[in-house]
Amino acid sequence: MSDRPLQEPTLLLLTALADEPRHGYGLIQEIDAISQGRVRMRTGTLYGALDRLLQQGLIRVEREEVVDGRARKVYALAEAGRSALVAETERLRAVVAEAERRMATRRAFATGPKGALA
Amino acid sequence: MTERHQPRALRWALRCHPAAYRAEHEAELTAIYAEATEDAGSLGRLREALDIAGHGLRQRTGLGSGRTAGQILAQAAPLTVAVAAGSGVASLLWLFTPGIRTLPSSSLPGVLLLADQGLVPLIWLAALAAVWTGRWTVARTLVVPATLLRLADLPLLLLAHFDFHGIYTGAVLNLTVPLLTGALVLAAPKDLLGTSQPQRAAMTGTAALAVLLWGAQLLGDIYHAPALGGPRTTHTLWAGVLAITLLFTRRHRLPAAGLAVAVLPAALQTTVPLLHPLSPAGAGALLVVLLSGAVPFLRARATPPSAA
Repeated sequence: MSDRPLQEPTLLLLTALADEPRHGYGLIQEIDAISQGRVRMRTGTLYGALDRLLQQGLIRVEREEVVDGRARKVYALAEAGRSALVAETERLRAVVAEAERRMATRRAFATGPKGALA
Repeated sequence: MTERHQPRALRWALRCHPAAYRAEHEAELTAIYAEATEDAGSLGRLREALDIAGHGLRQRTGLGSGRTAGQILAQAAPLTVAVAAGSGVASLLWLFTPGIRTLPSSSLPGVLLLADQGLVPLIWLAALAAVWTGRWTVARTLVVPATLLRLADLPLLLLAHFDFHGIYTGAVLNLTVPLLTGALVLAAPKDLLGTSQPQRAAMTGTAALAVLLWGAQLLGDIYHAPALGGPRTTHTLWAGVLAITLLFTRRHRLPAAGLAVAVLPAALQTTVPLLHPLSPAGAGALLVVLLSGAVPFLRARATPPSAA
């Protein structure tokens, strides 16, 4: 993996698999929920991403099953995928912490001691 | 869901996949489609089928997100929008600068052409804003009318122009450049498209470069400005950018290749008229691009395997 930030669809997919393995439609629903309805991943886009992540070794096929006559593959996060997700989470956490620090500095400056300039 | 019971749109979309891939993945794709469209209307089902068709075509053409070509396209897509929007700004300048338009505004085709020249840049600027805010679906939707309107330029040009000298090259370029530009954005694998801070910086730089280069060409064309080297020299600027970008493809493979692909339509549009008929500026530009393209390969061959 490169040290470039993950693109949002990749980040959402890895996040959706972080707690438990899921099948294709389950991933679409989970991504919808994680992004609070902002990202609606369609079947072709999802499948393209799954192909790539499988190829990169970030996810793996946990098992194949047939439910209600429908074929399903259940995908799980591979060790490399978990490492990539941890690295991205740490990067995002650092950005959030820095943003909060700067906003707090600005707030303190804006609401500084009254009459300081008088 | 057996093949006989598949909706027609899904059957058509699945046929876009290579046979081997389809044989392996059809059942799962069909299952996901069925669940995803359970409560969807006809428009929702169509959009889902189109997305599967897009995935199939990318598999067929080697432009999937797991392939290098797809990854290059994903790098190129935002920059292509930036180049098109930058060229749009120059078009608006051309449109609103008094006394430089060569199109007749008295005839209906001329008026339609002028409206087209004003509308298309606005659509590209809206697409740029959409990409900037991460709304790729909106951006890609906007690219369709922008491309179709640019294609409409050709019949309007033929109707508005009385002087047909040299129109052949212009006509070919009026077809290929918008089609290539639109295809670069639409073919990029969606799961690799996003808008990170570095991408925004790259888009800003590329859009600024496009305004600068198209502006220089515009000034060169209007005033035959000797300070800019005259029209022939300013028409080779995009080829120069392409050449410089190609030099970096070995060290920064994906970003450099992405930029090279993004500037390709502009380089074609400005360089091809210099090649047909062949001019010294055109021959020079072509030579520089070819040499720059060859340098990374020659360096790669010259590097001993142990040092790689």
